[in-house]
Amino acid sequence: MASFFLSSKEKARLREAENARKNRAEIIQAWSQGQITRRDLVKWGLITAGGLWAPIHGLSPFAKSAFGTIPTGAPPSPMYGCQPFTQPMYRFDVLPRHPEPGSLNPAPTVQANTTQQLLNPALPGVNPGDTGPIEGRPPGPIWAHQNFDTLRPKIAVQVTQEGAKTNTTYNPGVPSYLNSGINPTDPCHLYFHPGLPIQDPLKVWTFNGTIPPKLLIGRYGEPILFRHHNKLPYDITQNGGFGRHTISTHEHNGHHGAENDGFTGAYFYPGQFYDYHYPIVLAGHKSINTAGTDVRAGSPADNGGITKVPGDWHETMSTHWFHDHMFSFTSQNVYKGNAGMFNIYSALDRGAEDINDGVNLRLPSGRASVSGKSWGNLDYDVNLMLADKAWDQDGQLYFDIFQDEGFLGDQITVNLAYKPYFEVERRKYRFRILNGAVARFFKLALSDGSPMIQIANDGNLLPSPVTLTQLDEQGIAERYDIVIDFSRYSIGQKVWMVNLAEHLTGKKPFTNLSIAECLSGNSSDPCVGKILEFRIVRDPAQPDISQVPSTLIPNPDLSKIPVVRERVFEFGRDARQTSNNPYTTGDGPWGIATDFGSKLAANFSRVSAAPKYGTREIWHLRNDGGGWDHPIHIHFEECQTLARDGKARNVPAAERGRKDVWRLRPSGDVTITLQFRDFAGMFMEHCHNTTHEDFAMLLRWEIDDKGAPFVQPLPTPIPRPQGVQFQNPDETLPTAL
Amino acid sequence: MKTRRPLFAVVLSLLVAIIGGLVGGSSPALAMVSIASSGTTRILYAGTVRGAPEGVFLLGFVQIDMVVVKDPDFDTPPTVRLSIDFSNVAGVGMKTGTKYVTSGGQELIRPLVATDVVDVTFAIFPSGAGGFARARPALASFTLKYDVSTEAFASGTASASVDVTDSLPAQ
Repeated sequence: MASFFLSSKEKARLREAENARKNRAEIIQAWSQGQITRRDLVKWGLITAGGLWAPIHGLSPFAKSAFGTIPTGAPPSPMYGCQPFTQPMYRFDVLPRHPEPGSLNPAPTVQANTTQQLLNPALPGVNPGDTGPIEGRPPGPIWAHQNFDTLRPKIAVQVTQEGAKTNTTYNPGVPSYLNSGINPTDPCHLYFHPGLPIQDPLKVWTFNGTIPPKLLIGRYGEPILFRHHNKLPYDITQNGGFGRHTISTHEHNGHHGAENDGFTGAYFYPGQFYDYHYPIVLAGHKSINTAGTDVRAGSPADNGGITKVPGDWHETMSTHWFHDHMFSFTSQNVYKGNAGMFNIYSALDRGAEDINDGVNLRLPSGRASVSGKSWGNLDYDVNLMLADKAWDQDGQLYFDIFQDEGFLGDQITVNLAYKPYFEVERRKYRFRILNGAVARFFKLALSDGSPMIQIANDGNLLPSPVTLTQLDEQGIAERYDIVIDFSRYSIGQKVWMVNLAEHLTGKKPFTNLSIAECLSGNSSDPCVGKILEFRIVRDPAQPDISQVPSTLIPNPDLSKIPVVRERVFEFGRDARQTSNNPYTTGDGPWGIATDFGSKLAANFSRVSAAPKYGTREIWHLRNDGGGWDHPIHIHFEECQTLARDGKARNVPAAERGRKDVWRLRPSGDVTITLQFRDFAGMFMEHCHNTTHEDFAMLLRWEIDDKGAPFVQPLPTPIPRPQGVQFQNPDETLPTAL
Repeated sequence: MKTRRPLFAVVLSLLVAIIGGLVGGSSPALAMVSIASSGTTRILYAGTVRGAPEGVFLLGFVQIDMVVVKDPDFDTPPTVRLSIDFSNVAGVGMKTGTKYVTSGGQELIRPLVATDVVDVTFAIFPSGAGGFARARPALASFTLKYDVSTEAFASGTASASVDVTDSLPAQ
């Protein structure tokens, strides 16, 4: 908004809004730096006993909205004259893979590496001369890598978490002409647009400290050791006003032991690393196709063939992502840049469209015969991470945790670039779309209403492709893989990806607009309308031989697996806390009621469910309010959706595969079924509106009867720089076992 | 030799199939405190999608399930959850007699207002193997009326589809 068009009264209101933003930012900074607690805010009357921010001018999101703008409540992000669709979209930055053993020093260990190091006294609670372990993983047998001997890492990937810096090693994995002409040897400065300020290292914390976002490449049967080094500031106050320097990385939604799952209470400190072991196995590998004889259960071999692996090929997954899961700080840390994507390749989903062996589905990707790569070709297989952001009057990233209903930005980024363009050829492309926002839902369409083919949901290829002109709403953390055929366009044409989901607040979408409405410019939400421009630039050099088969991956047949019990989880407001444990409890208005008990705020030392190893259950997820929506994520095992609002026919076609995140819809409920197998430990279930999650809509469930070393219930880790300590759980709900 | 079925015969067969599909119940209300009302309606939908490779005559009943939900926490205006099911709409190519089917439905969130005009696109494509890859867009416009005082659905009408590629050019 150009300020010279504003009246003096409007200018005054914007000044007030900016002052209010600064007031809140100071309190947010103090809270994020651990100088005050949420309980202090209650005590001081800044938030009510019911968990609402008091309607104090300049503090409450409801009070401030009169002075700011929709949706941030703060002044509009200054654009410095930048126009949409004037910068190319950078494709993801592919992380280097190294053979293991031999790459990592020190070598990875089954149990956490407790070799001592001298600690930096700037760390909280550390005195000069204190020492602590080099690895932040909780020590001992319970947090040892499960099946490490049989699933030894073959690939090592090392990343850091650190403040913003220039990328001089960008690897998009494709030639420049398939990346909108970007020269990868040019330095990638960390800004959202070349016309916007470079971000301060304390404001943006990304993987390796750089953009574009990082892409991990893996294949079944080739375990990865993902060593994550925490290089964030030792001093907790050096956070640019928001974000926490302790982190826990969740591989969403890996089928592996809980020690690798990024448990919210298993975080690690600056100066430490954490070894995450991603075995990349098919679910059921201990009970189905254990000899690995089914060719559909396989991994792409380097010679173009298939290496067969154990497990159920119906459980093959394709599109994951990884992000921070730090207790009470997930939204801030992910918003600051702690998010990447993970493409997993398999016999079925090879990433090589010219391999025609009767197993490969030949989805749009690229030709092995051209690239020399028998798998993982990215030429026509493009990752998109959508996220709304806001920046302050200095152009630096801005976040407001006072939005306990969900923080919304007023600018859309794709792969952390403000409204970019992407050059495409006249052929089919696969897009792996991640909603990487804090609280914003998307609903995507093409500006001309042209059909798209949805092939996967949450990383799982659907039983059959679904042709749509508008995708379903896409909640936070949901991944939709779609195919767009650009051959219908002429060279020189443009078409835009548009967002139809209009928000007024972070509670839920206010309305789903039509394409004409969203293009009209009449919405008060600046993030509806065009978000990504496709420029059709040429014919492909080779004919498009990629396919979208009418059958992709049928669901696993669970009919012969008995359901041992059902559980009900109800998500809503006005939760209560049952513990004063200062390390493990969260406060906030949000919570989860389990099996018709009280609605409880998060405590990662409370066990809310403990399903038996090797069984199957049915879970009912219910939204108890009409003013909200919650995208609920269940860790560890992909589930099948049995019903919405009690009926199977209410499940949309694009949800009839496997999933791990469900938008409950206002006052809606979802019935799912899932198994508990192969691995054990403590996992989570939570709202992936990460503001809701951080304000206590999270619970711990665990598989603790797999046999030694697991005990019932599992001890709760309490990380400290000097080493992780363990406590007995505060509570096990009576219905948990 | 390629034969063409008369258009009226195809339309008649579509009608028979559609009327057969009408047999069925309506969705029950959900027993949650924040739900004000729910219901189901079927709206006759007919029209022609123009454009290449041929015009397609569409006919059928669109089923719309609606749930009006309230916000007891903050008493903000009610929301309508719409589930629009196009699966009983079918089409026929006006040159070739090719049968067309639709891809199902749309789930929408809309604020509760007395009269809500909902424009929604959906995909149509030739029936049979691989037809989905030759999908084309169609547009339906529904006028849904609510009794705002009782927060309940009152009536609905639909207008004919139009060729979206004509009305919303790429550039």
